[in-house]
Amino acid sequence: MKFETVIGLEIHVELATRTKLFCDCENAFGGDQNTHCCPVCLGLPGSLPVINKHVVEFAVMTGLALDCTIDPESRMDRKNYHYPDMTKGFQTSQRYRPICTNGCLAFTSEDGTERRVGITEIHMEEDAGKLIHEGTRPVSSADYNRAAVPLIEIVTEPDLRSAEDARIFLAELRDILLELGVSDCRMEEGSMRCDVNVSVREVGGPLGTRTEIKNVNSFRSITRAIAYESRRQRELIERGGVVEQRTLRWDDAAGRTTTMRDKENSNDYRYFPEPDLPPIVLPDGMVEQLRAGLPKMPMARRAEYEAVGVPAADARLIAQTRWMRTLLDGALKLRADARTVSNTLIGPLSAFVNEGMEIPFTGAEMAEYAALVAQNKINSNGAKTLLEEMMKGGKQVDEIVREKSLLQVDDTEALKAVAVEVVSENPAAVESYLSGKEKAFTALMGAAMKKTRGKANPAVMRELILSLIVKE
Amino acid sequence: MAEIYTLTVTELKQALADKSLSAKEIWAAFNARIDAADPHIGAFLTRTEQSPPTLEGPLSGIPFAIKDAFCTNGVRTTAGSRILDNFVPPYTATVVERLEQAGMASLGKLSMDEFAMGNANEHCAFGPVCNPQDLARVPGGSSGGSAAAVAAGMAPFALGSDTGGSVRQPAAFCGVVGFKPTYGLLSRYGLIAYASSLDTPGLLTRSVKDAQLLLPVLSGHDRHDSTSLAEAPAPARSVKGLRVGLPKEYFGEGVAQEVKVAVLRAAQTLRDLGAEVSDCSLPMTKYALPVYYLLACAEASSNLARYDGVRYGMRAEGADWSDMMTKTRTTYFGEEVKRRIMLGTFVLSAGYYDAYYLKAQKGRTLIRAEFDRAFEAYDLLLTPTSPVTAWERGSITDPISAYAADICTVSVNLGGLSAASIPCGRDSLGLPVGAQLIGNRMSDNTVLAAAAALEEAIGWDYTPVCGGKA
Repeated sequence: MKFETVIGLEIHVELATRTKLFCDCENAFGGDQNTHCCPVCLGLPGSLPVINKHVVEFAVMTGLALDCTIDPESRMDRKNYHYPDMTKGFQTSQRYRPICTNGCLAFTSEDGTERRVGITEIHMEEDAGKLIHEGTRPVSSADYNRAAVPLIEIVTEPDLRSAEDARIFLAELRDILLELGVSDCRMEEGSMRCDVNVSVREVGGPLGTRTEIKNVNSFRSITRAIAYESRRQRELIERGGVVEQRTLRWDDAAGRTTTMRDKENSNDYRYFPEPDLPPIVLPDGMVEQLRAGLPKMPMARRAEYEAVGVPAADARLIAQTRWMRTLLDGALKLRADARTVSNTLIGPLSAFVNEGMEIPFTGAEMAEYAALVAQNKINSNGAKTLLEEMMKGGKQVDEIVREKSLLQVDDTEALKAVAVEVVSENPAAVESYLSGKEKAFTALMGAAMKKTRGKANPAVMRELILSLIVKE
Repeated sequence: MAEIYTLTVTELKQALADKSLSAKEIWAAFNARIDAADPHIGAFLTRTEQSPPTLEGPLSGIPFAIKDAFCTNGVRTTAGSRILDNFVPPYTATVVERLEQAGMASLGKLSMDEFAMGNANEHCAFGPVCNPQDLARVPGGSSGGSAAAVAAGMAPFALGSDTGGSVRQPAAFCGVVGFKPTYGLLSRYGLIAYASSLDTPGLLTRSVKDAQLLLPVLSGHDRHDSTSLAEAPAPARSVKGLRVGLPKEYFGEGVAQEVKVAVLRAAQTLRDLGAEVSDCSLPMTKYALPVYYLLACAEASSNLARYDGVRYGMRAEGADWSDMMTKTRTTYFGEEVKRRIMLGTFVLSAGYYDAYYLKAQKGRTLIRAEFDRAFEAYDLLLTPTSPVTAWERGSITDPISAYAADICTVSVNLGGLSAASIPCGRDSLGLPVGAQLIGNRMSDNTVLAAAAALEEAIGWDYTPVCGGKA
């Protein structure tokens, strides 16, 4: 039998709003325990929720970026279950009328094929607090700073077929959310969390029974968990076994899934409409206004960069990195050579930034620099010096070029005089080169560069020296 | 001059304005009255220890009391339940805050059926309340403490809450005024929830004029309650020419003859005042009780899930958190609360949701639509508040009979309507009968204006009593 793996994802994303979902408490990671709390997020008797309109905006923006249908009148529902990190005995979520439905996200698989993943829905809900288990004491404490922090849950169709595709899809999704500015998407801090639904089936056959792996919290764990669970299911079926619908937990240390609960013990959440919150009616024009304000999506950006000649790998990195994008976009406006700019961004400028330096110049200056390099007006030595000076800030590009006289010398007559000098002053090197030691030529070039203080056009100089030697 | 505790809010305001009384004297008089009467009645669960009030405001110096369903910062708030025996909220309900901002001072917190589930105040975990009209009888509920306190002159005004009649019915049983405003007119923020889509803060007073005086103080949009209305209610219309309907379903089987007679006499009085009174029919009324109990219990099962012993309130010991939670809820919730949580959990369960919860929601929609149609033909409806007068404590033990006594009040909550109950007569035992005036949403001022006219014509004697005597 030929099997394929079928994967669907449920991604929880903490929204980077200033305040929580239903109250004015600060929405911030960490903080002293139970300091970002009030009667509302603690669910004290008599308290009532009031929805944060920025959460609604963020959800709509995400829905628009993922090509969803936006419901102008969505509703909140209660999902009833008990857990000590839940302050009200229910989670306020959206079950019957989620704010966004029926979207999709395209990504490029490793083999270069474009794939599309359906987005079933995006709904808004509240996060729970955190339980803290200290040492071996049979006591846990609860920290409700995270209680009622706003989340969106993005639910995909079972459209993914490999662990690798799942990873690339998630990376694409994360880039989009970062671009929108709706979340910081830090998996290690839990601001982006993923539940994975996995099943296997014969290629082309009906869908198999799925298992759900809860809270897999790094890209690496996601690929490992999918690979493990897919193999486990295949082997089970090949042995004649039957996959049971279960909720699993990923044990990263052991590299395996373990059962959290089986179907018998699945919860009945008794969803019903939240009576404390009226329907969320989007004001006229809100969706169009948010659509108009959407930033360019990473995939579109990458395609544009590639179209002007930036290599694919560089295009992805530049699209993801704000300072690179700012410089490239600014330079491209002035018709700078894209390849020259991207090489400079990925190479020397990244090195500066990695050392902790900030770029003090604009895309326009980047364009001037690129023009000098691309039109061969300065050579690589000059370019290096120029960039170092530009990083110091405060001076115009032409000012630096003038002061440091960085312009390449292309004047053949002037360079010929230098070549003649070099050849006559270095007979040993000439001899050596002519006897077949090609390396000796480097010494001649070095001497020529020294005499011109690095400004000679290396190609011209090379031709001149060669013509002199061969003539002899 | 009359005893201070017999004065209404309006009279106290006048006495303070013309300086015939001081805030200090008033405070002392009501506390003395509580000392004297409450041992016989048992309305107060917690009394507020404080010196005479010095708060500034238009109602400065006038005391009031609060149903224990409203959170009060620093003052124990139990909702009549042992599970909140030790709960001291860190915040104050909006309606209480508004009264305090107007200068009023709280005398304390009043008994109620546990989590407002009941209509006789016999489900309070801290003991029953005696009806000041007849101490052997129930005061009604769930705001039984509030009605009894006002009827006995232990407070000129008390806050109550009305989910299915919990302000109006005890008002009727105790012979005082009970007013349930339009849903959303008074903020629910800080009112411990029983059934969110039905819960409404309400007023208990000894004159309709007091309710008219206090309503503007209490109402107005509250940004902490998403169901709070932004608009103000419509201006009052005069009784003359008002079209008043008498829905026959409210005068049918199960309604005591003496109650019918008293309410129909009130109808005649309205006619005499110039209203056009005629019979009408609201056939959907027969679905009101099941719809109400299904929806209220469904919401309650969720609203009361937070009492798990983890963060506040009472906690029983257990092997782990789940065991602790189960034991906490088993130990500290009363029988009626557990019954309604189980009923509500059932109707929301997979496989039953459509048949019960959704069906009940559809029923609610039909009842609302029927009221909307009725209010095209009528400005107000006049009905009994309760099919019977106050019964003897312990005489109704089976839940179905108890629920059936809510027949005249629950529809109003399902419709989100405005309604007032005023005493309109006595039965042969001398027990008060309540007449209920129902108006559409936002017709609160007309409901109160008609109630005030009717009250004046009836000339009810509100003199506070304690066991039938002052």
